[in-house]
Amino acid sequence: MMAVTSNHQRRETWRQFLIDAVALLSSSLDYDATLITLANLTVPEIADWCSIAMRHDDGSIHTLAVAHVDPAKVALAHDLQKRIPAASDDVRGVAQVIRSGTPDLTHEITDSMLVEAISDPEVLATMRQLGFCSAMIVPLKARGQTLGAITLVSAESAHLFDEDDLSLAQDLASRAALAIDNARLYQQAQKVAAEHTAVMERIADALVLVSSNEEITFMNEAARRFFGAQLVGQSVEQSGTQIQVRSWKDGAYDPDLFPSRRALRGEVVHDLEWKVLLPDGTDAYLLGSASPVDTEDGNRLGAVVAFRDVTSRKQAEDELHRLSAELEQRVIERTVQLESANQELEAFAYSVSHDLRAPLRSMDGFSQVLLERFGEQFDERGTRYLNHIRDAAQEMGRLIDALLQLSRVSRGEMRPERVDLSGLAHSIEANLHTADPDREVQFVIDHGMAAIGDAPLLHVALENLIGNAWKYTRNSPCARIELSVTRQDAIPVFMVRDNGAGFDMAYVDKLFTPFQRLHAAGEFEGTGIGLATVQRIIHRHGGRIWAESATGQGATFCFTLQPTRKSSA
Amino acid sequence: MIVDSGIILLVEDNPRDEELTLLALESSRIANPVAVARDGVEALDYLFGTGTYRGRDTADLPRLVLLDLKLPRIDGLEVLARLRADARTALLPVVILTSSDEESDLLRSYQLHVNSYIRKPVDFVQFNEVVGQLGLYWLVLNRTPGRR
Repeated sequence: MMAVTSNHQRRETWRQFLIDAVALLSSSLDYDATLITLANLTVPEIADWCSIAMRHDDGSIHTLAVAHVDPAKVALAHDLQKRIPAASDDVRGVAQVIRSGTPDLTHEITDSMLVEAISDPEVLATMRQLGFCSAMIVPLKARGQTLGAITLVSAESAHLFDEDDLSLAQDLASRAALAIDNARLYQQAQKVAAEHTAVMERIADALVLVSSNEEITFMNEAARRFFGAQLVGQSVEQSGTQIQVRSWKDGAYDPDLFPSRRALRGEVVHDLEWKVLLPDGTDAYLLGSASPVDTEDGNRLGAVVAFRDVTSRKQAEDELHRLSAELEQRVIERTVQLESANQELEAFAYSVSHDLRAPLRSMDGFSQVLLERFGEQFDERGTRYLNHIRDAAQEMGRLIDALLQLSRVSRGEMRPERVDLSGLAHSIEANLHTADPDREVQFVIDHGMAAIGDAPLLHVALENLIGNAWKYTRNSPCARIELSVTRQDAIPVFMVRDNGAGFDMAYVDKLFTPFQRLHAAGEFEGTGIGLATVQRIIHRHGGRIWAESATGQGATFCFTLQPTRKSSA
Repeated sequence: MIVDSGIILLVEDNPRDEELTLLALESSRIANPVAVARDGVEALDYLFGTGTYRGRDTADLPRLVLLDLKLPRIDGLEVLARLRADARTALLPVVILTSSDEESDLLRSYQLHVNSYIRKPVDFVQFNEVVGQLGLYWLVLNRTPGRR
């Protein structure tokens, strides 16, 4: 029991107590346990009773510790507290101190105070029995916040607390509050750090933390798995050598360009392209991003580096590049082959043009000379045979010319321009009339027909088509040739229609094949190359050509000069 | 001083074509003398007085050159190029008489300032007509600088 002591003694007691309290408060971060110990340390030297209440985040108040040397009395106090629990809106006592943050000293508790404050007779009886005579409540304040309060009560000792006691109690409370606050901050920091670590660990990218002195301080799970955990604790340069960090571009090793080093210089870098040697001996392609890690007041703690493994993507890209390079090479080779084939074809056509015609000219020429100069030495049959030789030579000459034309329409360069098809048709019509003025053929040519195409080629095509119509209407009583245009699927379709001999649709497939003729040579002369030439010209323009006819019903040739759009239906 | 003997220089490697051309000239009543060169080298030797024609008077230029394109050793286009490059023959009337009507041959001949380009028809009747018109035009109607 604390006896009434002198002020000097009391101060000495407080001094000793505060030394012990400070030691206690700094000994542990478990502040609940520490506060309970503190409460127990208080009794009986400083007060007969000590109770510590804490304020929760929701504002409610919870008694953490009640101390008295006699456990039976502690139990009694707990029982009492259950009957009259402290409420946060109490106008006095613990709740008031916590709310206001100002201490409360009741130098002497009189019986009338108890009577005034306590309505329950049973509680009042207990209180009288406990014999409280003086009390002080001091707030636990840290960083402007009141965390709770310490209540010190004098009873058996009959010591009445004074201002000295109050100020010492406040000193105690502020030290305790500071300890609580530190412990809480530490716990919060621990929690945040644990959360951060958990997040970093689970991120799929490889995360590496580097300290300001370029030491690897942390690698997340992906990074450890990827690079090997042995790099933690090593310097960045050491690790860089070990896993052979090189740039994609030139394979150079330059630690000055490492994402971590650049981040430590204050840069934020994204997707730098690096490749490293993995523990399993394979190369991995990484995109490295990094940023500095600074404190709020601008101290550089280090850098965080994230690596994304893009090996499979890079390999796919490389493969794509390789394939396209290969394709390009193949195209070049094919082009060379094609060019050489073209040159051969040119040379062949040139040779045909020169060398094949010369013998024919001799055959025709000398036959003619024979007829002219030695005509009297031949009878009618001899003359006929010489004429056969001449006809044959001339026919072969025409065939060669037609073949040359066929090859020429495929070889020459196209020079697209706007071509007046109506005008072209009229000039062909005029030529035909001039060449064969005895024929009476009615032409019906639509006005304003035009197309984008190669003018010389389109001239050859129209000449063949109109020439055919001219030829096959030879036996028609009222020969008529029509040129018109309609639209199909928004594309112009040009038509050359005649009322001539026509052909059997059963052989329509053979119509455009070179040397295929649907009429006997004696009936209608021709090389069988004209329509093949026309078809090639149309195809070179991206168009289509087709024909409709029936024997004796005339023929219609239709063609387009541009690609048909794919039907959207 | 240009001596005009009225000679036609026929450059033709095919002896049958040569004979047909001569026949055609004959039937068109073109009486000018005809010199025949059987390849490009011979044609150039004739015109520049070199090789087998060393010593020939180069002032004695033919009235007309009928030049085939496809020739042994030096082809017709090369002959034409060399004639045009030499001041003595730059203005000499040269008519290409050939089987080819390849666009490239036509283009090249005109680039080399050929005076005319004729394709020999297979049909001898037509050939006769062509040669007759050729003779009439170049030997009778056409005027050339430096001649009276």
